Amino acid sequence: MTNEEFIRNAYHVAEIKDIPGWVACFTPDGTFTDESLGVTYRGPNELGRTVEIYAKAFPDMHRELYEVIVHGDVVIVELSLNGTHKGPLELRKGIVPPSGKRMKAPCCDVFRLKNGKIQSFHCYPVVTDSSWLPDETPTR
Amino acid sequence: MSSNDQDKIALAREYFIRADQGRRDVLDLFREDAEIYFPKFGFGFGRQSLFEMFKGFEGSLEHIQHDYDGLKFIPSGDYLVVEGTSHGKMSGKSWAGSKTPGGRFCNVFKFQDGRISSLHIYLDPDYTGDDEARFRWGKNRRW
Repeated sequence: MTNEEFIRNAYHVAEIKDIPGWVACFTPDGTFTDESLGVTYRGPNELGRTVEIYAKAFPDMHRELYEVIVHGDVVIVELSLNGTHKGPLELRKGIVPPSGKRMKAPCCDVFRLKNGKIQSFHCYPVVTDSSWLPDETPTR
Repeated sequence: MSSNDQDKIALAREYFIRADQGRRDVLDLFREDAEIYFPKFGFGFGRQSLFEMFKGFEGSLEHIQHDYDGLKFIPSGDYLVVEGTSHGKMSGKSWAGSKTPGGRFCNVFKFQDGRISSLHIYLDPDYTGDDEARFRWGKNRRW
């Protein structure tokens, strides 16, 4: 499996909410950083919870991949995060109740792989507005 | 890294420098039909749209500088991806990427015929952390 295939499969694993499968995509010391928040998740519990939380809040979450750029063990993906806020969004300081609003958020993900697994995942989502949906996703 | 990759990196570096200085000749680095994307600005088509995007900061942005020494360049084919931080001041409030919540970015450059044909900029446009409601984890964190 090429690095691009591996990352495309990782998105698929997240899409079908296969939490153990998602965690298994990472090296034991692998990290996921939400660059818009400056929050880094590490270890099986935290890495798995990120998918769980968003799957619960956005049951129809779909990651639409637009461009996949590969440089050796680095894979960059331009995408959009699409979904409807139908469930409670559990965050560390409380729960955001479902709003029913659609989200289509542009995003750029930077994965660095080691021995065929994700060692670091930097996520640059453009989800900063309470209205959720600025439909301005880059496409080529 | 090929000389072509080095050329792209040099061009991207020059983009950051000229953009930080507000120089009009930053446009010379772009193709006429370049595509620009910036959060909340959306898409601009044609290199002049870069200035349309810059105009949105008029009256509020006092200065900005990308942290040139910390830029991470990832070249691949026609693309160059750059992860980095910036610091600056807007409406009297300062930010410094990795020290404050705002200021981390990822730029995706695409090149054609030695110039930038598209630039997609991914960042939180709330540079100075004014969007209080979105600080769900509080502000006492590592940035």
